[in-house]
Amino acid sequence: MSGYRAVAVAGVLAFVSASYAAAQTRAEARKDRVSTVALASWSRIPGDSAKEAEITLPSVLVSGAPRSFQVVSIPIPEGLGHSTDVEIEIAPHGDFSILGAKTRRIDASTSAGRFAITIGIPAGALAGHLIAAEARFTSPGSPVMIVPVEIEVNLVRQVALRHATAAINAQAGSDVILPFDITNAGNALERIETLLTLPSGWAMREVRLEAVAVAPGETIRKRVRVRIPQLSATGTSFVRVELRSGGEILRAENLMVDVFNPSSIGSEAGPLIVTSVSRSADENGRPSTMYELTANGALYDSVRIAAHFAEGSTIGGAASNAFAHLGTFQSSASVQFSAPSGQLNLGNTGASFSDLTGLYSYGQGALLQTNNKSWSLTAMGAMSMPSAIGGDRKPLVGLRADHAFGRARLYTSLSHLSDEGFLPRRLDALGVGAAVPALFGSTFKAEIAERRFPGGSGFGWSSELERAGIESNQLLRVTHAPGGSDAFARAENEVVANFSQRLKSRASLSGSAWRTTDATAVFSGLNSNGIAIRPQYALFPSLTLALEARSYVFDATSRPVSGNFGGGFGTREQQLGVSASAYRGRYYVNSSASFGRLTRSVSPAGQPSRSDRTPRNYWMTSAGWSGQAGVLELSTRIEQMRDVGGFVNQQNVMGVRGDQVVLPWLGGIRAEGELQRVDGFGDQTSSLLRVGAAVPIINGFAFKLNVEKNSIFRSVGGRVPWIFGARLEHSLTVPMLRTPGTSGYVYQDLNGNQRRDANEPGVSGAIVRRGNEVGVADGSGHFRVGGELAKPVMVDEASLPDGWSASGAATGDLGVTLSTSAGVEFVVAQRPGFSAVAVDLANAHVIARDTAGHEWGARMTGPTTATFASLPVGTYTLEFDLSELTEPLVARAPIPTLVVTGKDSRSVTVTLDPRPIRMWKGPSSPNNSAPKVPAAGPKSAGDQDTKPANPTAPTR
Amino acid sequence: MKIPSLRRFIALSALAASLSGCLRSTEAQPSLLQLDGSWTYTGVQTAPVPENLTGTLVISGGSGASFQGTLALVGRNPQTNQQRSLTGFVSGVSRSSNVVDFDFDVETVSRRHVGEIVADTIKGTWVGSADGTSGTFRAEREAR
Repeated sequence: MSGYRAVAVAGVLAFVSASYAAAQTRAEARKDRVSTVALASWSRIPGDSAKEAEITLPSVLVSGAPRSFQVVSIPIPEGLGHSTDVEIEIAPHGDFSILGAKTRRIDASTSAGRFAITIGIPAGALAGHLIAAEARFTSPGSPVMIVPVEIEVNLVRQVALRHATAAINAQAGSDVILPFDITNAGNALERIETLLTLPSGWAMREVRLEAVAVAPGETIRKRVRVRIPQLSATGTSFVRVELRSGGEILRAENLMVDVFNPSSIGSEAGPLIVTSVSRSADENGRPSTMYELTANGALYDSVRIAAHFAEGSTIGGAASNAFAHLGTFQSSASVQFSAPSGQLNLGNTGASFSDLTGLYSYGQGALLQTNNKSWSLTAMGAMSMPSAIGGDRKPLVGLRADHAFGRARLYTSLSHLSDEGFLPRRLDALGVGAAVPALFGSTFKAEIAERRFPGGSGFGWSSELERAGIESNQLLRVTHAPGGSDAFARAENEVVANFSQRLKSRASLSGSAWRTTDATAVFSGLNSNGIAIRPQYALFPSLTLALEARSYVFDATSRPVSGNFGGGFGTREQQLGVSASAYRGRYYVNSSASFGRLTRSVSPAGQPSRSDRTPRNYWMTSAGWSGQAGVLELSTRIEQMRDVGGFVNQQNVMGVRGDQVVLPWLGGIRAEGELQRVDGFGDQTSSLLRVGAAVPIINGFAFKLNVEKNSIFRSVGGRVPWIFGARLEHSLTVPMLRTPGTSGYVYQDLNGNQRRDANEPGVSGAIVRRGNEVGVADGSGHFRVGGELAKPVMVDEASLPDGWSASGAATGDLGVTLSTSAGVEFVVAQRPGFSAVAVDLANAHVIARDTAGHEWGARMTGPTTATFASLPVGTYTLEFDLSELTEPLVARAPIPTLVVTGKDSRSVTVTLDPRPIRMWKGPSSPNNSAPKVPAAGPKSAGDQDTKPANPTAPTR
Repeated sequence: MKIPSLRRFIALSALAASLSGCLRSTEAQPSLLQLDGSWTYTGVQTAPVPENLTGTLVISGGSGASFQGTLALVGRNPQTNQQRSLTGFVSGVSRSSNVVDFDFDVETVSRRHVGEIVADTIKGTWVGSADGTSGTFRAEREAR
């Protein structure tokens, strides 16, 4: 036996080897999905050995989608081509199914060489190659031959995002959990990223949501925690949830979040008080310390406060720079109260009254601005700050009043402005102006004023034509203000023109031109003019190209005062540039190049004039990423000039900066920093290295640090030191002075009297709305809701238990009542002597009126039944309008009262009588001189004269 | 077909020539003044809004008549007491035996300064390009 076995095994191996090689050759030659099998040769092997052997032949491959049936053509192995009795068994794998008989017997010598089966691909089949079945060929004297059937299951990507259809309730100033399920209904493993688009001011607690792998058929529950700002608008907001995989959006849904005003709004949404102490040293080691107090937020209702107080001093540019990076600013104390109807500034304040009666006047005092629909008023009374070089504080007083007449507006202003300093300014002015509608939707403004200033006076005038639209804006302004910038004006003469115009959906054009002339205590003449034009075209929504041409000129003539340089100098520059801006997702790149020419001239007093002209070209590019986790940007700027005038001839600046970058591995600390290097500048390079961090500590405390080494900040000895700046701050939200909004109780009006009685409990969880504001009642039914006081507060009936309904909009407490259906059953009385008449009551109108006069209407729900679908608890009188019936009917008195007490339905029966009929017998009959008055109650049709059965009922 | 190619060639040649001109540096002029060192800068912005300027001008190099350096200023509005930091690079030229002319590049604007030097003090005026600012300045050489 062992010799036979050895021969048999060797024969089988030889057979398999040969047949596999042949099959491989054919399979590669034919790329169609259904492969054929070739058997190179077959040597008959004695029976026992052959029966025990199994030969697996190359598979047959087809493709198909889940939930589909595929017909597969399977070749009969060539080695069995002459067998007259071949038994075929089809054995499915897994959840694959075979339609039809799984076994069959054929005569291979007469068959077509192949046969077909139908395989069902299960719904849950994973994408990729799967063995769906195998065909086992058995023939006497032959080994069992197996042909596997492989299915390449098509990829199906289907991800479902399931969430509650109802809105998620949340409170402003707190966190909300957004739950949703991600289900992979496809047939391949998906690595899914979740991207949330939040309303403005909202923030995710997680820096970013990690991608999750979801297997086919698997459901993963996600819970995302989102912070809602305290001053968030209440009402319904939407959070868009996108499920992405490999950049492809697989599913997107909007989650609804109803934001409520918490009842404790008064203790949470008051002003934010930030106190801080900052310390830094300048480039020479001199310390600076600054204490700062700010308050920003709502005091009550719509009145807000913005206050700033700083105490301390800043010595040196490096310390000032460090404080700016730390968010510390030195300024005089100021406080501002603002409301929709006006604004009051105290302390450090300033105002601009008009182009002619004073711009940029600042001092210490008070500024009041009030406005309503037809008029506005600005009044300022202040004193200028004391000058460092001495001198008295001067008054700054001004008043401006505007009044609207339809679309036109008249205004007048009066000012007495004066300040001290190196170059004192002074102006006394009185002006009047008007703004009226002009052609093509534009507005024409004109103003005249008498201006008096040191050394003279003059009559100033200003006119302006302005048109502002969505796709085009134009402005032309001409101003003559004697006294110029020394008398609180921009310049003595000024012409300004600006425009922007969208030419097509992708193309726009903008430009500006200006010319100013001025004479001041420093310059006997200071003239400048310029023009710029910029066409722009959006090649793609994310790629914009622009050209820009600019020209700028100024000429200055200095007065030789106090030994200053006396003479003139000027600059003229012309540039032509091109720029491109592109973005993709959160990545962006901006690049611009400009070629130009720069001309400088100088004419020192008593010396010959010099003028030089040089090209000036630059190229600058910035590229970066901007997202919730911060901003990262690389930038470069290359500037080249010819060394004609001695000015910089080449300068290369390269830098990288990060701003508000989240450091997840350090507990979410926000960091910032920048690194900049300047090459080709003079004989040396210059560099800047700065890092900063904001570290939240506990209980509202935070620590900020800024460290900088900047070639610009050099010590007296020429050293470039590290500049350290630190700030310790504490933030605290204090309660409002007066809790805003309207408060009251939502209560169960058990007796329907629309007043809250002692035994009527509150309704917990009821939602009340006023406009877009939303509030929710607490456990005792107490609610508080903001919004405009003129608008009514209403209970959202969707928040009430089944059967309860609101009594309607009201002020103060809001009653809700248990509503129930009620019916009115009509009985039509027969007219004596007449056969019964079927009256169609479909057009009968029934009204129930409560004690407050509110009406409820019933609907005819049957031939003789009127139904009130929902009537609150209460007592109702019934009224009927039967005028549209085909037969004249009246309700029989006394009409019953409908009393609704609870959940049980109530029904009353009302009898309808035929209307009395007055028979007309003609005027001449003596018997008819006086009508008979019948007794009350239903009368027969034969009565000649009756009065209505119910005098109070509506009659025709 | 040849004409466009010729035009293109001429245009490219002109562009290349102009670019090469941009890149070419001329010979340095002889030095007229010794400006290297630190200077205490005080100035006033007179328009459109008053601002007092104090800081340090450091002139650290140059060739011939040209010089470069840095200027670090603190600007303070005398009426609001608001303070800000103004820093940037300086490059300029001495125009004659007593006139200096330099640009201070700050916040994307060049402030052109022209002043007269007497002993160790420069006094002059400045005008900002295209932003409507102007004023006076004074720089005194710090003790070496």
